Amino acid sequence: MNDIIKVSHLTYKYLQNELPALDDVSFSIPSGAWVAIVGHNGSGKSTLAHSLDGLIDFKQGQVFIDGVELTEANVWKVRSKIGMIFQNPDNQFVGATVEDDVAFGLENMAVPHDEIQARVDSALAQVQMSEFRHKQPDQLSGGQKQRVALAGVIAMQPKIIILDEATSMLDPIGRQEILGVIKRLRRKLGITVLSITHEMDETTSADEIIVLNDGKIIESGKPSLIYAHSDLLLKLGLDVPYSQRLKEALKLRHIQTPQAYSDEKGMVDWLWQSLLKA
Amino acid sequence: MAITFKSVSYTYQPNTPFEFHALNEISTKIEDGSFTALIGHTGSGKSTFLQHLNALLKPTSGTVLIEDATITHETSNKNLKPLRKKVGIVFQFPEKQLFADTVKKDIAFGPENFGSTPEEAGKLAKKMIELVGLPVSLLDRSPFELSGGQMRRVAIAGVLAMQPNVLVLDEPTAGLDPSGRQEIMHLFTSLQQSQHFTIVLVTHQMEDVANYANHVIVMEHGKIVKEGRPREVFADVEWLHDKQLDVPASTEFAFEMVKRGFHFDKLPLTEQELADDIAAMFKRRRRSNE
Ligand SMILES: Nc1ncnc2c1ncn2[C@@H]1O[C@H](COP(=O)(O)OP(=O)(O)OP(=O)(O)O)[C@@H](O)[C@H]1O
Ligand SMILES: Nc1ncnc2c1ncn2[C@@H]1O[C@H](COP(=O)(O)OP(=O)(O)OP(=O)(O)O)[C@@H](O)[C@H]1O
Ligand SMILES: [Mg+2]
Ligand SMILES: [Mg+2]
Repeated sequence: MNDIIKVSHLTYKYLQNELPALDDVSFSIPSGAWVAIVGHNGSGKSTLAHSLDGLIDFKQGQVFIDGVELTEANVWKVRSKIGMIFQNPDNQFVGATVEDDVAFGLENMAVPHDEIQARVDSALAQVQMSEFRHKQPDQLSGGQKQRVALAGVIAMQPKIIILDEATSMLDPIGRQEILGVIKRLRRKLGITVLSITHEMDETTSADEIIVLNDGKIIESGKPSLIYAHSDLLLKLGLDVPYSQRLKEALKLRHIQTPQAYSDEKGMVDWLWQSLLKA
Repeated sequence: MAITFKSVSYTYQPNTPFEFHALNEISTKIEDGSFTALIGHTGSGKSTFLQHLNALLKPTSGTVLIEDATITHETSNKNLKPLRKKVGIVFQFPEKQLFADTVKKDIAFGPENFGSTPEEAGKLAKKMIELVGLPVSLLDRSPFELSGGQMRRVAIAGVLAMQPNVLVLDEPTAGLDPSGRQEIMHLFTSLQQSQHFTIVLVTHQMEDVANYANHVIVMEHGKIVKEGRPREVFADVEWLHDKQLDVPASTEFAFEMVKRGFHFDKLPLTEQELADDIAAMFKRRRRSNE
């Protein structure tokens, strides 16, 4: 029983709206897992992320973070366990320079000065932004802003990292690199990652995918299970990973493809077996 | 509407410790009615380039010719209003674009500012919000009380409502859900065809470049390092990898197949092309087995 995040019957409606943004949402996440959250625009993903971080004052339902129930009284305690990247990095920046910004969370956590310096240096190096350390965050390109925001949580080394479309403005190779950094950090420190994304190819290595639709969890499970229901995903306005899409395109051309989900490499292996192997 | 860059350089905060040369001697031509895609690494100068297309930024040196207007560092802001109507920009972060207290006022602002009556502009707002796939009920909401993807759609609706001749799009599908991405890209191309728009798109989605663009510009460190049709630019997978750039997923997949001994006459760019090529391989294999 070491669920680091536990949400039960969470319902939240913004005052001015008719329909709730979150509608009786319950799930739990074991410590150290990587969970991807997908769903159409407006399905409630960011609202859920904000709820976990105590940024939304929900009246119905409960949230437990690392065994502590989220209440008004202990919101700071809970927040110190979570490193959150907002959907728009401009909503994130507090420091006058890149360096100050990355250090900000650490100063709040009363980390000793020398260690702050070392962690900031290392985080900026890992996201390849060292040479920008004295710049103002608002003088950066879109992708550079996202890298700096990511450096902030890398330096913080929290128990839980929540990424709200944190790599949406990175080029594909940059995205792989940065996700690689987070994955390594996670393995080293046993961090739990909750990643909200529209990139299906980013969900393939998750332990679990949660699918939100109109504020409700409509499905959750291992990636291979979720991708097998490609028609449901497409109906919800979502997508399947590239290899699965290719498979569908081949089926339309009357080619018999393997049943189980496989990634690109698996698909190339299968093609080699069927077409080139003597 | 054609736009020509002649040796354009741009320096942010010149003569300060923060001086940064974001564009270096850029020369290129965006043809009238073309669909140009601008790709390149983070910080390579794409957004800086785009902001020269309607003189939001003016070259530190060199000139930009926008139809018959010549923009240099000396051009005054006074006479730029007609230009701003003709060239509409969707910014990289939609929040930068939104400002009014309702979605309706936000979308109607452009048309009203350029001479529509409030009534016409209101009607247009309703039409545009449907076009970008949002319910009409959002019109009375504040644009800041929306989800990220909804904000993005409102920002796009606002620019379309101005009915520009050139549509400049800075990562317009970032934050959209997969079906929204497809719908919005379809919307752009259908407008381009029906209304003879010129489109300039910055994107990291190489699929979109392969599917829609007829001209690709590759930028690196504020310079153009390659330019041509998508098939020409994506033909050299190794060169692109070397530059830390991606190719469309189908091209990458085919490239992996080539490494395992498969042969393609030319590397496919889209899923449809790749599936057709693979289907043909199965057919040949079947025939040779018979
Ligand atoms: N500040 C707000 N005030 C009122 N309604 C809001 C606010 N923020 C979001 N909403 C509404 O709540 C619903 C859920 O929004 P949320 O931002 O959680 O969606 P999301 O899944 O993150 O979408 P996206 O993929 O577009 O970022 C949407 O219908 C949205 O319009
Ligand atoms: N206001 C500014 N002051 C100083 N430098 C700036 C400013 N805006 C951008 N830069 C710098 O200019 C360079 C080019 O930025 P630009 O925004 O054009 O990049 P980009 O290609 O759009 O990148 P991305 O894909 O990350 O959005 C970057 O290195 C950036 O740090
Ligand atoms: Mg969101
Ligand atoms: Mg940019």
